[in-house]
Amino acid sequence: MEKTLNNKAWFMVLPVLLIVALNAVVPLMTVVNYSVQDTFGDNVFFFEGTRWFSDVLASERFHGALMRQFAFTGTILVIEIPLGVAIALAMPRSGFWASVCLVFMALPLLIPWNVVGAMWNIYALPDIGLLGYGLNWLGIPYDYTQQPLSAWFTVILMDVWHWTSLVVLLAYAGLQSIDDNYYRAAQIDGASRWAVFRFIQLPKMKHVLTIAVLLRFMDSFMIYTEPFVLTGGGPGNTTTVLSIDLVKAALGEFNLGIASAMSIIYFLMTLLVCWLFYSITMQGDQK
Amino acid sequence: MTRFRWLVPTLYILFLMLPIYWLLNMSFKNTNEILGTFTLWPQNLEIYPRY
Repeated sequence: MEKTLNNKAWFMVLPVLLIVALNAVVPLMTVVNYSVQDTFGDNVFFFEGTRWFSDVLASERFHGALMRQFAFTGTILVIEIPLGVAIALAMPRSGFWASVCLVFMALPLLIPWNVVGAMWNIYALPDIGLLGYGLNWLGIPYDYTQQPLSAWFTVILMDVWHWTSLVVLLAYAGLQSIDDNYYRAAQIDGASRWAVFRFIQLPKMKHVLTIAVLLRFMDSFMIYTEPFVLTGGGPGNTTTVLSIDLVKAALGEFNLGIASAMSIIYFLMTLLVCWLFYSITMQGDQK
Repeated sequence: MTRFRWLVPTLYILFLMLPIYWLLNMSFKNTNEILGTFTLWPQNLEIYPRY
């Protein structure tokens, strides 16, 4: 059947487009407005040009927060994506136990972010938390309130705990969609387990894994609540990632110009990395 | 190798459940028990509202 193309249909989505444009563009424009102005109060602003942007880009504090952000995002991606795929591969493909696994694995995804932070705060305390007490009992010096390495370990473990299930569920959905004929053909050809994974399962999971990496990148790059509740950016500022630093500048120091310039740089970086990753990953499909 | 495949999701689910168990465990302890001793389950089940 031939599809008819009616451009008038675009009018049907126009109201939604307008609402989204208004609620997304107006706040963004406010930030843009603040990023090029300064004020001494009384709602009187004067133009500052690109001063805030050059200040932010030259600031060591911003570089530090950015490096910590990339270190955090890189580490969780390196752990969560392979771990999620490995767990999805080991899960039962159907039946009662498959449902049990799916229900338990979905649980962390349903817990609000601030509860996750509070839960891990208690769980990791060295004197009363199971994790903290257990590690110290094993002779491993661990105190996330005092030691930067312990704080990093806890923040990363918390994110792995909270979000690996998302990768598992996406990878599992990708695996379920593979036709049995592929496996039969591989069996006839005498393909090894690794060859099945490399040439059947991995290519078939490519799209869901792209979505998984994008979602995890964006979410982890914008993470705020969990590390804020767990460590508050400390000890010192060792776990102060970009969003925590941004809130400190905007609400703690009330430095609106700097905070707005940071917000725009932050937003553009997220957009750029996502666009680059998506374009590179999808390039193969278009050829 | 494939015989022990069930171990991977089992260990992962255990890892997922431990913090939730600890939160639940803490929610049934009184303040003295939380701060005074390390116990794997509540010794005196606290069900009276203290909030």
